[in-house]
Amino acid sequence: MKAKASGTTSVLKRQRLRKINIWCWVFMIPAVLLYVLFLGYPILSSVFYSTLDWSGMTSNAVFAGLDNFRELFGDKYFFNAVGNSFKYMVICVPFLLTISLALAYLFNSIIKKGAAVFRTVFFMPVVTTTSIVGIIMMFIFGGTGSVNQMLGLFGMKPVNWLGSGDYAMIVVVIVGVWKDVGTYMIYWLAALQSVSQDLYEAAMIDGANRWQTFSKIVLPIIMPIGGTIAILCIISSLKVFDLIQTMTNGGPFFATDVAATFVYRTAYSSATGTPRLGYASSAAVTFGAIIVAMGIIGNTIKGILSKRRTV
Amino acid sequence: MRKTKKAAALLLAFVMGLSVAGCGVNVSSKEDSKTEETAKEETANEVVETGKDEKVTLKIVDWSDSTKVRREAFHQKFMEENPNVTIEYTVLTADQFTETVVSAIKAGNAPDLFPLPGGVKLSTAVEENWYQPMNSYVTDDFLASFSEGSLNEGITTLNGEVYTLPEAANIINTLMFYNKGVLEQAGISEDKLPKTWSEFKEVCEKITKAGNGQYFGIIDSGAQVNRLELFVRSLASLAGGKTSDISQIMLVDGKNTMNSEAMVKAMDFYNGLVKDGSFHPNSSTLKAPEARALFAQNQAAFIVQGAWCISTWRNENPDLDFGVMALPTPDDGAKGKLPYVGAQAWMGISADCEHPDVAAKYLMALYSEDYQSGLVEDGGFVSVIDAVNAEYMTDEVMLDYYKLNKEAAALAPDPIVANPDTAKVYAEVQAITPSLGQIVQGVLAQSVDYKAEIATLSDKTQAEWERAVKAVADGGAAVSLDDFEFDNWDAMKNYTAEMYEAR
Repeated sequence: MKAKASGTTSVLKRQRLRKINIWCWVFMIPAVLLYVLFLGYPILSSVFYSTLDWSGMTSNAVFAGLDNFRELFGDKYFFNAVGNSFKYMVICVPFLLTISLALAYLFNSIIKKGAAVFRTVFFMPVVTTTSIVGIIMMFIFGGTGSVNQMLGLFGMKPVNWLGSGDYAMIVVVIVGVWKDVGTYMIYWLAALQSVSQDLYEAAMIDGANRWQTFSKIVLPIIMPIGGTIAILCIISSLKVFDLIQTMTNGGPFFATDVAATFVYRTAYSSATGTPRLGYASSAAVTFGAIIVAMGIIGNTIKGILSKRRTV
Repeated sequence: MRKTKKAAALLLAFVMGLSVAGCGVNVSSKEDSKTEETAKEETANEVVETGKDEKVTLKIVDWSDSTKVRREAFHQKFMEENPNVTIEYTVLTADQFTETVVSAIKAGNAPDLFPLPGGVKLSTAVEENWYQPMNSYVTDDFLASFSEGSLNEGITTLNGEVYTLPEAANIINTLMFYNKGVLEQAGISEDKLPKTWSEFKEVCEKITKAGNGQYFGIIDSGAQVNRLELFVRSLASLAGGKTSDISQIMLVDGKNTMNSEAMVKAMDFYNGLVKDGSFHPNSSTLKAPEARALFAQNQAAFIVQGAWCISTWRNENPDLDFGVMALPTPDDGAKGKLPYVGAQAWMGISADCEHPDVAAKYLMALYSEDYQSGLVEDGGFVSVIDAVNAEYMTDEVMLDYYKLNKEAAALAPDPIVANPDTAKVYAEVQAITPSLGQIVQGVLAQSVDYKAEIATLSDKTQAEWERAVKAVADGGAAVSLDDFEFDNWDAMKNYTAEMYEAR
């Protein structure tokens, strides 16, 4: 009798679960449809185009199999672009994470008066169009721009900031950090606000100074969220495009050419010869795969670290 | 698990099918593309006659920003004279234009009138059914009004049918403008303008020194690699390099001229100017309009540009005192003139245009004396209607420019004019990185071994050109590498129609 009753219950449970599942899918339909249309379809199309010998301008294309990928793996300018993307990311991410965290902590826990105003000031560059920032910065860092004029006041020689292969990447990174620091400050602020005020008070009663409170109490608590912020920051830095396109166009002589500018240039512009959309797609797919791999590695490391923490 | 895999495979196949259908791309195998003779459907177009009271909207898109104001006034007048016609006119940058128009054509939403995008040859556009011939809609007198050499088979015309018209007469766009104010400040007399490369180098050094950071010898637009390539091709041509115009590849003794002795000399000269610090320090990051603006702000004595600058400076910098001179020649004298090719294809009537008769009426008005004269009067514009130039070209600098064009430039042979099938080679050739312009950009930044790079560029260009010619010939077109070599071409003289026949 008992067995029969429990059987009926489990059937009812399953039915209810199925019903919930169906409703979940019904509510997810709009999001799934949008995802498939605007993300899934273009990604898979790009995979398909990467197998074509196609300029993108005509209605005829030749199936090239893996030829584009074979050529790509022997293309030193592609590897230069991938290398530059990583260079940008490696320099940019530590600065972005530390400066944004410092600002967030400052405006969350130290400066109380006028914190909202300061937050807005640091968030302003985020809402400014990147290409506009790029164009303005091009003039500020230009040969006769305000930075060089300032150097001139101290009797220093002007520096060709954007026209020199040695300095262009550094300048782009500085502008990139200034432009995006507000975004990560907001992420850190959200993380910091999850730390209970009681903990600050307890630390104060125990005699901890500000640095000790931050390093021994606050930082360990927000670290799991920090991992996610770091992964977002890494991926976003690897995808940099508009800032470089407007400031240096990938130059001088490919010194700041990143994967996105390589793909854009190959797909759309050429002085002699037709553009190569198929080849550009193979570069986009390959670099996309690299970013996915980075994401997986990042998440795995984050998982291992958080497991260790719980142990 | 197996079901999931199957579903994923089906989904992938479905999406790829959609991609093919969505973009309207016909995919063939390599073998098919070699043997496939393009089966072009010959469709006899019926002549369309739009009713007198029928409302018509003409959508026109191009990149002609320098004539926008005149054009809009012209449209207003055209609509007043043709009250049933509404014109929707959009000006895009050349880059935006290509992306926008190609997408619009693929989506079946092409503008009624649009220019041939850069990098696309007429034969490709006609094969893709982008344009329709206009012979049935324009009068013979109208076509006859174009100056000699403006409408060329393979360039604007295919099999005798006119598909596109040139915007303007093609003249050289690498002459040297000089800023009289800066020259005066640096103590350089206008009577003693530099004529040779050594003199130019010396004068630029002197100006830069006198400027002490306020002004420099020369300014360039390093962010626009096409401008850099044009400049160096011009210098190499003066040294006897037979490089021809940008996007052209010419062969001498079966080899391209990218690594010729003349090209190396030209690069050495350019590199010397960079090393001397004679270039404005912003040069490597500027686009052409920005470089033009800094020149007008008296920050440089020289700039290599085209005639279009004249009207811009007259309008935006009325105080600028400037002149134009020929490019300096190598110290041992010029062995070639500045090369230019005939008028290029511009505006055509879309194959999807429902009122080609109205579009043709618009085109006839656009090339009327009434409209063209205004453009010529503004300066910087040379009309394809000779009579208009003779009567309305009054700007002093423009007249100098026009005169210099006749003296310092020579019409170079165009493989497409000699054999229209060579257009298929241009469509087949794939872009090579780094291009000549990108290498020059490296020279500006002093971050490249330009001798090694142009040697590599030359090797790659040769291999790519040979591959493309072979691929097109295998497809059934009558082309060979000889079509890109002109033994009877003397780079000091215009390449005439008789020379095409005699080669």
